[in-house]
Amino acid sequence: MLAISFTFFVLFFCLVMGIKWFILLSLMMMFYPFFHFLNFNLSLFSKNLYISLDFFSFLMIILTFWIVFLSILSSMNILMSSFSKLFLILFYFLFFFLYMFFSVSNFFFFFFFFEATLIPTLFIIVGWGNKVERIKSGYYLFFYTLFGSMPMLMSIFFLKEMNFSLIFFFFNLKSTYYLMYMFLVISLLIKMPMFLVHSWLPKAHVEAPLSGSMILAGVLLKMGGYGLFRLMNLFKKFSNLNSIWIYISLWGGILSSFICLRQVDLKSIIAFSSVSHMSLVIVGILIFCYSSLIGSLMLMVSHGLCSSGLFFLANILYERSGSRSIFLNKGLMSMFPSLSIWWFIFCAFNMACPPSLNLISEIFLMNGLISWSFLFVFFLMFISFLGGVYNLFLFSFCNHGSMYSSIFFFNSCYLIEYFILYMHFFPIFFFFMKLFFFF
Amino acid sequence: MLYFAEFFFFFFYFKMIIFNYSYFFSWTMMNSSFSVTFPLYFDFISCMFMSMVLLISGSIIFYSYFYMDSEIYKTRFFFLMLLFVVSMIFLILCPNFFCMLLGWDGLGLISYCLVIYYQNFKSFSSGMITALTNRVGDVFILASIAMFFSMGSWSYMNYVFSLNLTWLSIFFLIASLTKSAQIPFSAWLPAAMAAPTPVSSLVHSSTLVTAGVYIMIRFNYFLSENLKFFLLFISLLTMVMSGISGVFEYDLKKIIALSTLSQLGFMMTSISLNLSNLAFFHLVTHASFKALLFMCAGMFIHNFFDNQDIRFFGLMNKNFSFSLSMFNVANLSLCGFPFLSGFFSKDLILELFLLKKVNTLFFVLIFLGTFLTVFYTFRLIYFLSLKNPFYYPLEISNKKLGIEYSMGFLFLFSIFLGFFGSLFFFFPYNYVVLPITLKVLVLVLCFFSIFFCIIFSSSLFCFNSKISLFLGQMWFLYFLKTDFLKFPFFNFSFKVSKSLNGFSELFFGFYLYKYLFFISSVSNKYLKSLFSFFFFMFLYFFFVFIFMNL
Repeated sequence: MLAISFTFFVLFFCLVMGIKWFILLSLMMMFYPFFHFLNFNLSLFSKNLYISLDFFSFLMIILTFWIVFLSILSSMNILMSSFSKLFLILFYFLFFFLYMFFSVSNFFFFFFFFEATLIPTLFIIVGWGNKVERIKSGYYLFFYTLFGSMPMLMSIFFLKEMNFSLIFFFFNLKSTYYLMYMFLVISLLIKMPMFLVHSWLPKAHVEAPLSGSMILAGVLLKMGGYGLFRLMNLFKKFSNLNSIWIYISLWGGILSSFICLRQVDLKSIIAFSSVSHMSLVIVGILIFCYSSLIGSLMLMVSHGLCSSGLFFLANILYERSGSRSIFLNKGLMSMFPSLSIWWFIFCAFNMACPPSLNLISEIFLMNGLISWSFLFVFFLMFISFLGGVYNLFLFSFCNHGSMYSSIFFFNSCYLIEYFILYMHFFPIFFFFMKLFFFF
Repeated sequence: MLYFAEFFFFFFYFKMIIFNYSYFFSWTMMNSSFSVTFPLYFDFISCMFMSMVLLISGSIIFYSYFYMDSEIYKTRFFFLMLLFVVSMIFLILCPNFFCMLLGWDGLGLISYCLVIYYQNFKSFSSGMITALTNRVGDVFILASIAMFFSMGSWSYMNYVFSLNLTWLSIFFLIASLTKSAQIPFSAWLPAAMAAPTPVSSLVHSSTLVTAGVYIMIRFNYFLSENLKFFLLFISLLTMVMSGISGVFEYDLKKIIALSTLSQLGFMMTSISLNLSNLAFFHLVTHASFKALLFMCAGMFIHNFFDNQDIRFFGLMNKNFSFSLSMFNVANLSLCGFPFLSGFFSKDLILELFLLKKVNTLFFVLIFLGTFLTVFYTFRLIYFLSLKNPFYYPLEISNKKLGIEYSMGFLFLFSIFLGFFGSLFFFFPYNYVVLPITLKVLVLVLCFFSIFFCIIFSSSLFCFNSKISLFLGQMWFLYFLKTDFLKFPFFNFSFKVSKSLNGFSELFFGFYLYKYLFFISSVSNKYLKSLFSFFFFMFLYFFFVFIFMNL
């Protein structure tokens, strides 16, 4: 672990000394496979006071690595511009914060990195967004999270008083403190986002540059789920209150799927679909069932890859046609036949079709939820059906029909775009084949 | 290559039926308290069905080599067809819910891709109906997989003797109803005719629509008696409904699609009467002649300048004598003309139905369905071969040579398959004892039907009223599918996206943003001018002192 932390200093050193971004990227890629030699399971922590990894955080770190590669690779036009170094420094800071967030064992440092990720994200959205509304969406992103996080800080201090330790695996409270619970869970649920506090997400996605929305959908949304999993020891006492969030997110999953049907912005559709998927994750973690926990872990990984890929696809269209509206981007199937295959694959994976990790995760979630209440099956079936509806809408609106007549010329796809799409696709498929990885 | 594989499976089928073998291969992926396996099951049902699917798909790919001649993206078309066949193979060979879902979802999605193959709005909307109806079935299967998960295994062979499957069997029944387009879900089947004709031939003969029947054949021991009664009712209603709509329809492909629907209802009827083997027999024979029927229809449409209305056809026997004869054989086989292959399965099911104890309503419904089958079959024969056409085309477009050769195998099968099939493995069912009135009932009914058909076929033009609208539009199921469900759902989602989404944004985000700005701007304004600042401070301290003194 120390060695890997050391590599970051090497990376920053390289960056400051003015070494090109692709050398940095290749250095990161060289370190990536060593992660796969690590082997964890969900229950055991490696014993360390500050840094501890289990399977959940290990997977999240791998996901962070993967998404960061791909989002750096995909923002080629920023890297070629004059502000590339600033962009890269922000991105590496974000990467570092995320990495530390997923690996610390102390709750205070957890909180610290939870907040620290906001700053580079805000700078990326406000600095490289496309429209003026990006300022407002930056405010939304910032203040939604801060609204939850200040009470969370208070409850951390309270927890320190009560528990005498802030290390996650020493959490053992004798009595129940409802206000502390509320403060802790609200800030995580805003980050997830749960349905009623979700409105920062579509705005941030719509205004963010491609790399920002890729890392936002891929990793930053998973921080809330990771936090819920970490604090499960604490939340066990409050299972009667947990049901509030479960009901809100079940209905919210359905309603946000409905909202998806009426969106006209490609990025907004994908953002609302991630709201509905994240609601499943909330439910899966908060009912404290092992299979649904595994299911929500898988859903976080697969949804991170899948929605990131969908954002990339939407951006390919945006670069060609200059618009993200679904009424203008039409008839791709006759123009980019091989790109529409990727559209189809990602839309199908997003609606949980085999062979994808999304399908397995949905099955695991359903199985866990049946053990809680049988009636949840119908809710989940409805969410799954609506997922099918909006993904098919997304696919067919973009790919079917005739081309928008005022688009006169555009370049075809680059090879690196297909490479990035393949890199999004491959892990989803690979994890489907290697299911025992999760057990 | 598909032909080769077909003969391989056919050989297997003979071996299994003669020696009563079945092979079971299983690849264990994970084994703990729950076992994830990838099994392959070869018994006579799966082998026979595999051989039929491969024969038909081989013929259709050979056929579409001619039919899709002027298509630009031929590769996409053929890959989609092959993927379709592959997912059907997954569905047939895997006796495991999870691996079956692989094929099941694959069938739904790839059929969507094939239905929207032509890029017009009609095919778009019908593809959406197809995909979403199939998605309902997918979701139900998904839920039942999640339920089987907690029971220990996904392989359905482990559940033959288990009894507590109430919700599971209901879910499976609904899934198979969506796939085989039974009555609440039957609007997608005629809509899927927007696909290219080779695709609809493949979809309707042996792959997509029969998938639902196939899993019901596999799972028929799951169904309780009440569910079987329900299934019987639904399937008989489907049969009658589609028969009536077929009588009122003028689109050639839609008539054939509705005939498929009625035959699917017939298969479901025989499943619900515990005659699942016979249902399978009818499935196989139906696959052969329905594929042939569609291929001939596609050829007619292709050569009549993409005209699908049967009123414009006519006197085919002048120009298309060979393919018309194939068409008519397939058609007669469909209505169970004696000693063609449809007869052996259909007649047997009808006679065994008469042996069962059923109530009068079902008796009336099934014979009404049979009557209507014969009716629309002879109506097609009348319109295509006997009637004079509305116009004489100056030139029939050039026939592609060799397109008939692709249908040859299916032609032979649709004549002989029933006879050989009944010889080989259905002899225990051949023992039927009926009084003479019931025995000749079917025959008399058929003659009546032909008689009515010849009288009414020409005069049904002017039968134009609300009743005919009701009967021709599948008892308004078509409206139920599109407008009835679309508007409330979309209105609801509109309201949600306007009110609830906007409300949550206003409540949690926008007001915060707004008042923060308001307060900061007010304080900014007052602090900017020093006078007002000092005045404000003065007032403040003034009041403070006053209250202190008090």
